Amino acid sequence: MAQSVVSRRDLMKGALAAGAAFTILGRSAKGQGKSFKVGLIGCGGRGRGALADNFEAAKILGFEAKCVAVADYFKDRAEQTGKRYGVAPERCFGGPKCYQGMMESDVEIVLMGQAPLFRPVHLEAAVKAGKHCFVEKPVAVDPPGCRRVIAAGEEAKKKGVIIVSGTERRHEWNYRLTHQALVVEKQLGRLVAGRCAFCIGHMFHRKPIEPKTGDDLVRSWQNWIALSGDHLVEQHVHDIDIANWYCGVPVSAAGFGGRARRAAGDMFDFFSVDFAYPDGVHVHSMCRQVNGCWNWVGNEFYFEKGKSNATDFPKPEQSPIPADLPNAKGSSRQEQTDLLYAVNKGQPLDEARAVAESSAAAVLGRIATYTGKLTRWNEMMVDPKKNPEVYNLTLKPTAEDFETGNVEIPKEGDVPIPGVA
Amino acid sequence: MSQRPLSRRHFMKSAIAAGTAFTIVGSTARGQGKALKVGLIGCGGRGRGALAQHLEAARILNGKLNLGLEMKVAGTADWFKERALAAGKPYGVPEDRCFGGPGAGKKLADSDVDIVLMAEAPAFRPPHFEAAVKAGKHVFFEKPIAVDPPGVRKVLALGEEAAKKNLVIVAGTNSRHVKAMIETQAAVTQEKALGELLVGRIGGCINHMFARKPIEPKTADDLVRTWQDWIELSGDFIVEQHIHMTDLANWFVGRVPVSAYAFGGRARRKAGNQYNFFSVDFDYGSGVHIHSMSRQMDGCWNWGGIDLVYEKGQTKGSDGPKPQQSPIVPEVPYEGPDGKPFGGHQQEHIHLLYNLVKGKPLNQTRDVCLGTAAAIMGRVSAYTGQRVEWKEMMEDPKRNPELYNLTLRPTAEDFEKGTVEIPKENVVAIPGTDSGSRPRAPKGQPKGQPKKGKA
Repeated sequence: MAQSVVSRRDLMKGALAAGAAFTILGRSAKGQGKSFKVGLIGCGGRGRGALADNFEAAKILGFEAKCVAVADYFKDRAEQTGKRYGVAPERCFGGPKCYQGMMESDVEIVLMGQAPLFRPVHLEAAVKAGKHCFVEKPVAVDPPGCRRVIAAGEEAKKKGVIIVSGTERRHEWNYRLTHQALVVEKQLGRLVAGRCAFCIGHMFHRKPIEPKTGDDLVRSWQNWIALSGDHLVEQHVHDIDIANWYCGVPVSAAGFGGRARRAAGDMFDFFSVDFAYPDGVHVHSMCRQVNGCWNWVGNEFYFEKGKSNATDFPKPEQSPIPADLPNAKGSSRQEQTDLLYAVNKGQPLDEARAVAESSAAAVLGRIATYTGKLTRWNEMMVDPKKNPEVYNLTLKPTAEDFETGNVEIPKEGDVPIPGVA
Repeated sequence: MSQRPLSRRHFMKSAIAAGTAFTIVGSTARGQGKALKVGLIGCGGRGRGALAQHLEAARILNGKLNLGLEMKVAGTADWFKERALAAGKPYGVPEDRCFGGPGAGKKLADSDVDIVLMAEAPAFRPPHFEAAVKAGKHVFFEKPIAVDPPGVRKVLALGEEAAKKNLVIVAGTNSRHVKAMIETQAAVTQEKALGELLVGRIGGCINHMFARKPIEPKTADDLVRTWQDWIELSGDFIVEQHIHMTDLANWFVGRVPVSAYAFGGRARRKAGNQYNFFSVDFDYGSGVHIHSMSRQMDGCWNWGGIDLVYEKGQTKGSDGPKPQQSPIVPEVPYEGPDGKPFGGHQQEHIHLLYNLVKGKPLNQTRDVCLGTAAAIMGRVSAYTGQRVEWKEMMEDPKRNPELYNLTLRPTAEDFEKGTVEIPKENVVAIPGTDSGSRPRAPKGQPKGQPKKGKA
């Protein structure tokens, strides 16, 4: 780790030494022979996808990416992925503590595509070890987890560690340009309300999983609240993230939801949440994973002088996009491009807080829906004394439980029921 | 009926005969003795309450405007004869005018009453309203006025007929009778005091209502006795109760929703076959969306009301702004001697009798039909998971015949004929399907959106 961490400070030093290096990189960076050592935690589809995107991004920027370590809860998965990238077998880490091996390695950039439950712990460790990070969304499943990520982000900033999150739309150019035009420059006037949705067909298991072990849970993590945060958090966070980007963080949430057709796991399959943001702005959030229903994925924001779907107004007076940042065409490639671009330039880029707050907003909506109560940001994220139960709400089994082997298996089909009998 | 139907025409005739009768009635009517016979269909709590408020309205109007109204309760009707008798007794209604059984409502409508008050189960309102309009009666009917699209359309058509007959029709969507609401609506909707409406929310989230244990109905009687728990009779609570709010939304937006996209479920009910909660995105066109929330569950966040955001401000419906031209008729009483507003339940009967006596057209059929239809649209969307369009449900018979003709069974006719099939308790609609791959993106889906997210 001490060997060649590209910390911001190091990079700045190098940049200063190189004089006009920044400009050179920006203009004709191709073939400068810059090389990054990348590692991946979580070798499922999304993790492998992120790694591939990272390689693509390196190509776009003219860098060389080298995958030097992989980690997964299941060692065989780590080895499979590692094999494809020529990672030495002793650098393919497995087991609940697989991330630790990664942190001790000479990896410079860690990509995280593991189950959301594990992200706060792994991100903390990565920041501690001075690794730059790409971390998928959501970054936590409960309020303490969200706060840990915010704290890790603060630490990262101090150390010059860069954190990019998988809330990919914030990297897509039309989103960025529209945000600049409407939110920063207020070209359509005051924002008054919004809607956002992630309503799609059924996802994941169709039959009961009947898990016996922690391994069974991790293998089917998308079906369990404790590992995924429920689909409102795991998937719909994309839309809620945009709502936060446009409106701030919610003041409170009131939610409606249930489990209509799931046969596996313990999650709901639909949520409809009224998020109250500051200044009387309300956003109606809708998400569903049920077949045969009307589907809509997207955002819609209402301004005094018109509406926008957050991509259709890419006309800012001043672009927020650096002139030398390549358009990677595709949001998941763009986020990796932005990551490598920032790492290379030694430019501070910390998305930990934003993604933690988006994850927290989704968690807020989930709690409101599960309980039927109006749930406030202040009691969940800010004031430990107001409602300690919500503030400290910790989903079990925790990431630590998996490490210590104290995993209690959740009851399948046992879902929260709002209100009281 | 042939004796003294106080239809508007009849009234006009006698008014003309009496020369300046209107003025007389209006100013010094004492002893002029306008006798009106009122009958009640549906003698439950709401019905008996409506009857009492109806009579009180006459007293208020007599006191303030010397209308000299002499009200007589001339008949009662209920599915259960003993209820009709019990409701009629305090008013000295002869037993043979206390009708019971499946045909009771129609018998009352056909009797010699001038005004029919209807507070029976919503499923029965279309046929009862039909009987009343055909017989030329003035009507107060509770909301909702139907439980399915054909029922709503039937009442809509009858409303036109009632208008032709100059009948006064007042609906139990009582917020429309509250002065502060009437004034605010006039200011923001008609005068556009706050500019264009941008977006809104409506809430009807309250505690658990009605039966807490399985009803296990065996007979039609059992169903009627517990009608608030059965969608076939009530329309589900989004229709039965939350129509207050969907009606307000229609009124303030000034039009009906283009479509509804809803989420709902049954979380804690043990009785009947209704949902516990609905959350609906009503698209009113021109970019105006209203988020409708309704719930009947203990221990949850409760909110009832309307919250509308305009270009230049917000309103909760009754908190202003004031209109430049108030639609309030100055002489109509809105407050008691203590200066407090009467409240919508009382005021709606004051409006009914005032307009009836003054020979002014007041016909709320269309409004309550559209409010009912909006609520039904939300219900259907929540039950199916589909986006439901107004056009296919209410206007175009060919677009989605299943929805256009959706008829909840048992129907009112089934109850009349004795062909009632008992619905299964605790069996509720489940949106979507178990099988099948992902459906194609529907028409109208915004373009340029990600098709799916990364999981």
